[in-house]
Formats: sequence, C-alpha cells, structure tokens
Amino acid sequence: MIATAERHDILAWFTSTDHKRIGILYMGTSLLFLLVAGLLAMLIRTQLARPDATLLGPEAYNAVFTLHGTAMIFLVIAPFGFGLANYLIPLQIGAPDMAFPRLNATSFWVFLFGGLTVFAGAAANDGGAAAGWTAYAPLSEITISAGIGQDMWIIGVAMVSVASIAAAVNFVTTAFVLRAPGMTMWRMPIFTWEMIATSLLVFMAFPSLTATLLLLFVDRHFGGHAFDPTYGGSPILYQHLFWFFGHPEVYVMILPYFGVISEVIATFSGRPIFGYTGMVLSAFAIAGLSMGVWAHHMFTTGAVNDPFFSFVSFLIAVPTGIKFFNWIATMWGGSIRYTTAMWYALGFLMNFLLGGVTGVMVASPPVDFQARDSYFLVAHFHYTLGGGSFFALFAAIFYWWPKVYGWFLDERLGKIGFALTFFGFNLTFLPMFFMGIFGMSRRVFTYPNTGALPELNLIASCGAALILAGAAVFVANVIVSARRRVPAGDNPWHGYTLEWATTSPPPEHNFPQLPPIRSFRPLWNVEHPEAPQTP
Amino acid sequence: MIALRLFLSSAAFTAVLAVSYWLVAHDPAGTVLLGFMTAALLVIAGYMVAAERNAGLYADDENATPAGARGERIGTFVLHSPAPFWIGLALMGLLLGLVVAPAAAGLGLIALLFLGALMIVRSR
Amino acid sequence: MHGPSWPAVSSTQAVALAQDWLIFTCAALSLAVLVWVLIIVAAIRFRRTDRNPEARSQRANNAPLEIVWTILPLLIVVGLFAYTYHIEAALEALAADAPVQLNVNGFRWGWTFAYAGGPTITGTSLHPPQMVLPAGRTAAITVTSSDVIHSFWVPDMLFKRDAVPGRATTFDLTPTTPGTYLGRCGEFCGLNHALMTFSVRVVSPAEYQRWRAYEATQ
Repeated sequence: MIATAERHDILAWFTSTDHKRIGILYMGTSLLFLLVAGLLAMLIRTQLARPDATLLGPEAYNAVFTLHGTAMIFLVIAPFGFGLANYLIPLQIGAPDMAFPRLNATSFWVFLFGGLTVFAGAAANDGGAAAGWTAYAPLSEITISAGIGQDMWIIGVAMVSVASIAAAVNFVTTAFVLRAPGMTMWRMPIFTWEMIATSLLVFMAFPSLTATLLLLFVDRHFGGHAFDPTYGGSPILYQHLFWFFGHPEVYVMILPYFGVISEVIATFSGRPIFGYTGMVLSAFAIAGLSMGVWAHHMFTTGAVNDPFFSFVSFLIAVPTGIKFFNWIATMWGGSIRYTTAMWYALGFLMNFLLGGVTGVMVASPPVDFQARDSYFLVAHFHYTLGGGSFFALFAAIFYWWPKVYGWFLDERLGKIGFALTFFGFNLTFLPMFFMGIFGMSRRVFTYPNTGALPELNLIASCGAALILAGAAVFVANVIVSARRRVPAGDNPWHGYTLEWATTSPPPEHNFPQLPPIRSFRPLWNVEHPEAPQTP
Repeated sequence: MIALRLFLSSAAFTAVLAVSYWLVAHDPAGTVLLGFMTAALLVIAGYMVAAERNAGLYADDENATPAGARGERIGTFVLHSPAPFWIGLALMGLLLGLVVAPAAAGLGLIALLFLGALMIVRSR
Repeated sequence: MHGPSWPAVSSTQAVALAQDWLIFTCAALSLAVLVWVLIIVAAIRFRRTDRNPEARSQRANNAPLEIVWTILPLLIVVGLFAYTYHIEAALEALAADAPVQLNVNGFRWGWTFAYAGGPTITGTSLHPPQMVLPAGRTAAITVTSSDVIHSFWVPDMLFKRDAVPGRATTFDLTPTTPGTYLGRCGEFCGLNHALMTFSVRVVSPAEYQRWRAYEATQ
C-alpha cells in the first residue's frame, strides 16, 4: 500500500483525504451549524412565548424558521450521520480508508460551501429565503420571492444534495469492496448496514431534489413555467417531486441513528444485538417502503390517491416496531451500564416511540386533515427528529468520542446535560400536540391571545430554555474534559466491534494488525475462543 | 452476490410499487418517478453482474484470516490532495455566478475543468 | 366566537373525523404505553448491580417471538387502515345536489366567499370575512387560490383543504351546531400567513334565508 506521509499542521485539514479527518470535519461542522440552528430556535420560542410579541416581525420570523428548518435538516442531522459513517465504516469493516478518498473530501467541501451559501443568503439585502425548508412553488417563484436569498438557498441546498450523493457512493462501495478478510456482509455491524440502507435511499431520493431545485431555478431565471399554473404548470407537480425526495430524506435522517442506538444498547447491555437478521431486513424494508409514501404530505390537497399512501405509510410501522422490540430484547437479560451514551439511547427509545405512534396517527388522512400544517405535526416531527435523531446524535458523541480523541468526556457533566435536554425537550414539544389540535397553524409569527394557547406556548418556551442549558453544559463538558484528558485506551466501553480493536485514536490506515473475524462481534470471538460461533 | 441481490430485489420492489401505484392512482408524475427509480436500480444491478463476476474477495470467505490475505493489493489510498477544497470553492463560484456575477460563473467553470484535468493526470 | 380550544366538532363530517381521531389516539397511546412499560421494566430490572453483574445469556434470537412481533403489528396496521379507509370513503362522497354552493378563493392575505346565485363576501387580515352557513344543510365548497397555495382550515370542524392556484377542489360541509367558528389559513403563504383568518357563522336555516335576502338587496 502506497501512502503519502501524514501531516499534522493546520493546512493538513484542508487537504486531508483521510476518512477519519473528513469524518471529524463533517461532524464538527454540523455541530457548529447545530449551534446556530439551535439559537434560531431559541429566537422562535422567545417570540412565541407570548401572543402578539414584537421581538420578530413577520418578515424576520419567516426567514428565521426557514433557516432553522433548512439548517437542521440539510446541515446538521443528515451530515452528522454522514460524518459518523465516514469515520466508522472503514473501522468497523477493517478497511484502511474509504474506497474513494478524494471524492470523500470533495463531498465534505461541497457540503461546507453549500451550507455557507445558504447562510450567506440569509444575510442578503432584500431578505433571506423565507419560503420554508420546503420552498413550495408558487411561493418560491421569482414573482413572490424575488430576492437573491431564495436563489442562494436553492444553490446551497443543491450543493449539499450533490455532496450527499457522493458520500453515499463512497459508503456503499467501501462496504461492498473493502471489507477485511473474513468480514462477510452478514458479519458487518448494524451501523454499517444501516448506512448502506441510508445510502440506497440517498441514491434514489436526492437526484429528485437536485432536479426539482434545477426546475425551480429555471422557473425563476430562465423563463420556465414548470410550477406556474398561469402557463399550464402545476404547483402539485412541485409537491410530488419535492416529497419524492422529502420523505426518504427523513429516513436518511433516522436510519444512521437507528444504527447508533443498536451499537450503544448492545455494548452497554453486554449482549449482542437481538435479532441481527431482522435488524438488517427491517432497515431495507423501511428504506424501500419509504419510497412509496411521499404523498402522505399531500393528503390535504385532495389531489392524490389517499388510500395508497395511507396504506404504505401504515406498513412502515411494522419494520420500525421490529427494531424497537429488538432493542428491548437486547436490554432484556443484560447487565446495563448507565453511561451518558446509554442514557441518551434510553431517551431516544422513550421519545422516538411517541414520534412514531403519532406518525401512525397522521398516516390516517382524517387525522391529517386537522393535524397537517398545525403544531401537532411540528410536535410529531420534532419527536422523531429531535427526540430521536438528536438524542442518538449525542449518544454517538459520548460513545465514540474516546475512540476519536483518546480521552473521555466527563460522565457526570454528561448526565446532567442529558437530564436538562430530556426534560427540556419533552416540556417544549409535548404541549405542541395540544396546540395543534386546538387549531394553531405552524409557521406563524404570532397567535391569538385566547384559549389555552398562551399558556401552552409559554410552557414550550420554558422547555426550550432548558434545552439551551443542556447545550451549554455540553460545551462546558468539552472544555473541562479537554483540559483533563483522562486517557481512554483502545476499548474503554468493552465493545466487541472492530473499531475497538485498534488504538484511540486509530493510526493512519487504521489497523496495524487485524484480528481474525468470525462473527458480527469479532472481539467476542477473540475473548472467547473456546465458545462456539455467536448467534 | 449479495450486492446483486440487494439491487435486484430493490428494483423488483420498486417495480411493484410503480405498477400498483399506476393501477390505483393513475398519476403520471409519481409513476414516472417510481419507474425511473426501478430503471436506475436495474442499471446498477446490471453493473453488479459484470463487477461481481470476478470479485472473489477474501472478505467473503468465512474462514479467511488476515495472514492468509497478506500481500493482497487493494488500492492506493492517498492521504492528502488539494483538489477537493478547490473543487468545492469552484463549484460554489460557478453556481453563485449564475445569479450574482457571470464572471464568477466563468471562472468557476474554468477552475473545475482545470481541477478535473489535474486529478486525472495525477492518477496516472 | 369559539376560539382555540378543544374543537367544537360542529359538522356531521367532523363527527366522523373526531371518531377517527379517537380511535387512532387510543391505538397510538395504548401501543406507546405498552412499549414504554416494556422499556422501563427492561431498563430498571436489568441494570448492572452486584446481583446482576453480567448478562445472563448471549442468546440473540428467538424465531417464534420475532415472527409474532412482525405478524401482530402487521395485522393491527392493516386493521387500522381498513377502518380509516372506510371513514374517508364516506367523507369524500359528495352530495349530488347541495343546497348551498360556495366558491372560496384564497389570496395574499384574505379570502373571498362567492355564493352561487348569491353575495360575494371578501375580507383580509384587517377585517376578516365571515361565511354564513345554515345548520343541518350541506354546503358544497369549492376552493382555489389566485396566487400561492393557501389552505381553508376550520379547526372546530377538524378539516382543511388546500387552496391551490390553477386547481379547484370541492368538499362537502354540513354544519350542525349554531355558533361562530374561527377559520385560518393552513398553508404557509408568506408575510401575513399568521393573520389570514376568517370565520364561519352557523345559523338556523330560517336565519340563513333572511341573511341571503338581506344580502340580495345590497
């Protein structure tokens, strides 16, 4: 293997094609975007804490929630997953790097510059993009959203889309081609399998996004009328094209985190992940089914075949349920160590469950007729993406940080941060189910001073303050832990997957020496050579 | 084999989705999208047939050991390249140039072509 | 006016919609409670203690169990689908000859209600328009928009229908309980989306006739 020498100066980060460095760049960048998007959320909740508040007028408010949603979806949750996959997949399968290191790095830089373009657009003179993260036409057409902010939004998101497709190509190719000797496909860790399913979704869905954005751009600047009804175009077409991407996108934002939860629960329960085959098959079932549900976002248009989409949406609950039962069965009969990562995994289970069952509710069109575009829906998707992905994101941070840096994050501060985040999160989003049933629209800069809305909104805003406190504790944790640098060693959590078989941090090209691989828990076999093949 | 089966079964599934969607909803937009997806998956599956024919990976051998695979050349893994950063910047310049300044678009396009050529030459 | 609180369920369609809500809420909550209990029991019972220092077994599959927890949820969701299909099919059926025919047009940022053979009421966020409907009579409402996508939403009737430019879509509304109900735009449409409200005043059929007669003289 030919390798150029590793460099350690700051410029090295701009030219590195090492999957570990790129993974850190991806994850670090998405955490910075998380900070900004989170502060935007604090602005939103401050404005909505009282009816008829004047902190943000409608123009500013609309730009703020557009940026919050766009950033969280395109620049935080999905890219953090890609970053984690970048770091972990080669380590988990015993490979020296990704199949296409330069493409990998290109994917990161295109993502970064795309994200910066979106944010730069928010600072545009005539206002940033303010059509929501969904940018429905005709609202996003040039006649209504005339400013350059919307164009920069389109360009930035298109760049992120292209970057994501490139990243997915790398993940799949690496997993197929660069596995270590003896690492058959059915011995790969669950996280890697989830990333293959995620990548498949990215291949199938993101091209639709890029095409839709291109069409919108042509509509705006080159005399196109794809979505303009006065010339025979169709706003409904925009929705079909957008949601054909948009729904698989939410599964792109959860499948990697399902993988994280599987890894964390298995390690800290001291048991193998229960139902390995079921976990793999359900990941692909979810991915496949998710391609057929897009128009459940369009039930209220009266323009789509509700029963088809309702039926397939209900079906997705089955493989998701299988995962839940497998996670519980992994814990069952184990000896669970409650580290911060495990607490976040537990929080994930509790939160995502509510997000999932409310998803089954809105899959019923009669429920959706009230819930769509109300705060009920805001609560549903925050429970899945916030209570779910976001909590799993932090589980991943606390679990793999010692591997990446070689020292621990403080466990006590971690648990305090978890408690603040968990209580804050539920305090913020539980009232929103009721706000929605009571008739509060989403994407509103204010609401009437009647009924229970003022109280419910105030409670939600108090919860947001707790989440902010949790974030502050996390930042403090990083600073304090960086000073102390308590060494972690190769395998601080006693995990059994391959990433724990090398040093922390791993050396260049990852494995000076690979153990023989005989199951999906290679290190268990090393530890128990007398025991038969693990199930 | 697994890779081929994965893409073939995915294509079969999306084909079922596409056909049943057309029969139930008669919606051209969704059917075309699902149809294109099926076609794309079949294309990849076709490539898999050719690619997996001579694969014979040590990885797929259940009893393989790292020692047994010693000396296998799996590729060149560079650790550094200046191209990715500049490709990202150039792409941003090209696309922004379309709205802000055509000159930037032209520069971005030239930069991208140059970087592409650079990477091809360096790969030889 | 009936403002934001538990929906009044003041139309025959809303009664069916509320029933669907009830069934689904019960199903969702009972499933959630069941699984929450399982999670909490597992989390507490199998935590590491001196009496439970390591995992009891490394067994990681149980085919009968896995089959049960695949088939049972499948049956449940198929049942839920059958129920929801039945409810929606009944709702979507349009009455052949509705006594009240209305065209609703959404625009940035207000509404126009054009009664067939009757008055045209228009209003914006400054002075929201009011739609008058007779209780117990079906109104066939056709919704469209003249600029971006809006949505005609009456929370008390548990229903919204998107107003899409270039497209007219019709639904039936049969109010039951007299009263005034708040309506609002249910699809983000720009600057004053939050203020794009209207109201639906449901009156007795006699009162409605009087109102129509009065409007005819205007």
